[in-house]
Amino acid sequence: MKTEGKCAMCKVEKAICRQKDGSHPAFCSTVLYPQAIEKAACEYEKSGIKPFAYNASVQEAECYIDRQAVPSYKYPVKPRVQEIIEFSRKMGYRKLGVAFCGGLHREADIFCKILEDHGFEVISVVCKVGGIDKATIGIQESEKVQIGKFETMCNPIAQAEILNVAETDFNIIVGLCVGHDSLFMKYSQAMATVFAVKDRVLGHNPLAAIYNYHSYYERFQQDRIKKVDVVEPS
Amino acid sequence: MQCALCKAKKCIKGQNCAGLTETDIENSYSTEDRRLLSAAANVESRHYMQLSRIEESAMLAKEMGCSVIGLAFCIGLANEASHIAQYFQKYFTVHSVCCKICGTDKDQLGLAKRQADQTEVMCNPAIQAKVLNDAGTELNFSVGLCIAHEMIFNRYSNAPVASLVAKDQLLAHNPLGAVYSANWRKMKLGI
Repeated sequence: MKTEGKCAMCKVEKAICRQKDGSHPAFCSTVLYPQAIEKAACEYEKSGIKPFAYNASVQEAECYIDRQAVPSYKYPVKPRVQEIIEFSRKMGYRKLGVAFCGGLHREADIFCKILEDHGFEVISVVCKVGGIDKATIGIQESEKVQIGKFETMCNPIAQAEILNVAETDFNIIVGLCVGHDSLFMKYSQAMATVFAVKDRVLGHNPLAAIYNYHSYYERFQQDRIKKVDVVEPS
Repeated sequence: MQCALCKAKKCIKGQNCAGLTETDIENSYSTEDRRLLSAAANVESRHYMQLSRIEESAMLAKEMGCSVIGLAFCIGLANEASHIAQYFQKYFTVHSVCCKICGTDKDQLGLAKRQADQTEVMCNPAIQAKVLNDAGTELNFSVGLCIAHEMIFNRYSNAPVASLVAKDQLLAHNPLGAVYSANWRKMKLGI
């Protein structure tokens, strides 16, 4: 069987991807895919990509303060909302698009206000834009969230097309559903980033399930997803 | 005792490392404690992994047969406390007390201020407890009280207290964020 990259499994302390004289496991992506890495290096030279990649890395470093200190330490100080504002400024963006899920309407409202208060023009588009019946994409009655009721489809392609027409410089996703976010990113002409990822159960913090993998979310250690009933005090 | 550093945790299989007899252990729990333990075990056994902490707290109070509940909240979480109070009011009579109750200036107790020349009202956890004691609450829940203030509130509350929310001003009330995030764990906590 062909060896494929499995970086997530790597336990090498001084890895070749971090230092030139480092070592690597058999499934090391750095060793297995030299052509892809070479191709990527050419992509970074492209005029539309270079400043974006450059500023993203500058922004990454600037999250830490006291970088001159010896001995060095990493002290992160900027939440993601601040990073998005600063990165957008570095790129010279003026017009920002926000594609949000209706379930996070209040969050999107505050987020857009923050962007506007920091000098950006903001165009926001809710997922339900267009008000199109879910049946249009083949959703059956039994496949709706609320069976038997009229339901509007999430319309991530329309969200993207609207922001394309508005000619936004940069688009930001707030809590779109799994898959709807993919479609949005596919159709968005401007570069897109994610501010929030939806997790309806875990307060939009999907990593909470990972952090509790060895305790309260151990059910993911096997291939079984348990049905959870709604329980109320009586 | 250094249980937190123990890798074996054989206690969960029945090992008794503390050297206490069964009688010692049974005598450690009062009648009220046993009511709480029983209610907690009922809630856990019937609803394991089905309830958020807020729902679980309401369920526990129901299981205890309570009808009057107290909330002691921090003014920094007033909005959150309002939502929690509305939820509890579906099932109980709720008395809620803000940390700044009485509006006492920090100068009165000689407490340090963030800005010395400004009026700065102290948090008043003993009074939060007193108000809830006087109202006859049967269980009290704290919502984001400061660390030391929570200690004082817990000391003076007549009713048993549970924390619904642990305040973490920097980490949006998720103190474990400092443990879960490698950035924080390694670089700031140095572990």
